[in-house]
Amino acid sequence: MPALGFSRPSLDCSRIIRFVPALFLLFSAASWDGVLPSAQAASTDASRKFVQQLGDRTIEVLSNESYSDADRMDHYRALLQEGFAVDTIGRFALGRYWRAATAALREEYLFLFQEFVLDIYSKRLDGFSGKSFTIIKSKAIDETDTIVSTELSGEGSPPIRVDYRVREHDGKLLVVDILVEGISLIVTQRSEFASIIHRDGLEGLLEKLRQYTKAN
Amino acid sequence: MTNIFHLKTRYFSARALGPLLAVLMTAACATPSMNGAADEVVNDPLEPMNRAIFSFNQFAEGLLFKPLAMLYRDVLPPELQDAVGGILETLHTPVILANDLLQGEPERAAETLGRFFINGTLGLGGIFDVAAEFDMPGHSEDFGQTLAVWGLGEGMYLVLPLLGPSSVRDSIGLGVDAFLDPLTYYTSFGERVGRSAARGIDELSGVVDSLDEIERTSLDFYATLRSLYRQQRDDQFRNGAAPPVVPIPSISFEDFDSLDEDQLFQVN
Repeated sequence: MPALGFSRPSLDCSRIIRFVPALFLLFSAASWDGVLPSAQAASTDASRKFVQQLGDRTIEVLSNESYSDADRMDHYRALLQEGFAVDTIGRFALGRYWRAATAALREEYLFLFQEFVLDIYSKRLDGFSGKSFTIIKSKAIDETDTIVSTELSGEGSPPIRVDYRVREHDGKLLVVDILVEGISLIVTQRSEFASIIHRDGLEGLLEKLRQYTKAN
Repeated sequence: MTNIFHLKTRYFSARALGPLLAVLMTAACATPSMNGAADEVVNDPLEPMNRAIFSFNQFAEGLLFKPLAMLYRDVLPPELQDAVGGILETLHTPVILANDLLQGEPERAAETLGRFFINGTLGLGGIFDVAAEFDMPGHSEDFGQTLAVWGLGEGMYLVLPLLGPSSVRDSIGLGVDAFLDPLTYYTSFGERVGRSAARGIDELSGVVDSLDEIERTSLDFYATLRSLYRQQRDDQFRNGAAPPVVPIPSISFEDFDSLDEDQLFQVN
């Protein structure tokens, strides 16, 4: 059973795999012709490595049975802070309401958002145990961002497409979005927050986040 | 194949859908475009009604469908579950094939036809997925996807009673799929409902845990499912092509503040 629920007929996956060699050829040809600057090509490689390491470390934390729940949470927190642009994601999730928020509200929101994300991820990651991931390809989409496509597979279920959008910032790589079967987590988050703000205002969203983080 | 939203959107009696569609199409015409910034964000002008139906669906799901799906999943041997899913897929072949063709996808149509003949014979009607061994994995299509390929927009978001997340376009698709299905004309109403229920339970059994997980980690489950439904449909329309790139603002604060609002706030 797919851990994240959004499985689809495997045809498209197998198609993607079939096209991977072609994509690589195209990509290397493009960089050969100087269409893509070599800096970008280097960054796709680095992004690939970065996602591989992040994945390996996550699986390590997930499968190390000597960790207590609290240990595991600490490790997830470290992974999140080191590997993800949490504040950027949080600001994106608030959309245009970010600008209307006061400095104090922004600060509280970003704090609550990180706790919220940490809770979600630690819960959803539990579903990943026993699964393995393979990097399929990586592709630069602009000067700073690269999409690293992976497949998550486990027994008895078709592989799940998981794409990481990795951004280079100040010489550091950070994940800015994860797409599961083409579904963007930050778009989903923003859509949910917008709906809450539309109904109950920014304060309503903060109250919900406060309650959630207190309860979990 | 498990698919969170398909479960409730494929089978439906054309007879029951007729009057509903008439209402929806009128609604679609009366609301040709999104009005106001807030609506633009969510394109859900019927939100109060949708939320009411959503609550009812959750109630029915919790009371009846989820327990059934979990029973089906936990009690029936996996091989038997695969067989049920396979037979249901074989029965659904005409609809998938018609939509493959209507979308101008002869390769996918050939694959659908190949699966039908191989699984229908060697696979004993779909009990065994022999075609997958021949590198012919299954896929699904519906008329809502065909309309999207033809360029029709969503219309607006809709939650259908018992069937769940949908849109004006996808509801029309449901009705047309029922007409495209030869079995509609050779089965009784009761048989059609039974088949729909079987399919719903089969698909729900694969996603029930994920759904519960999403509900637990959502601040607004309705809004989350609405976004997931739309994004998943978009992904299906692309047939596996890469999704469009969302403009994520720069990591440094200053750049973020100077970004154009439209860039920050796309529809989904």
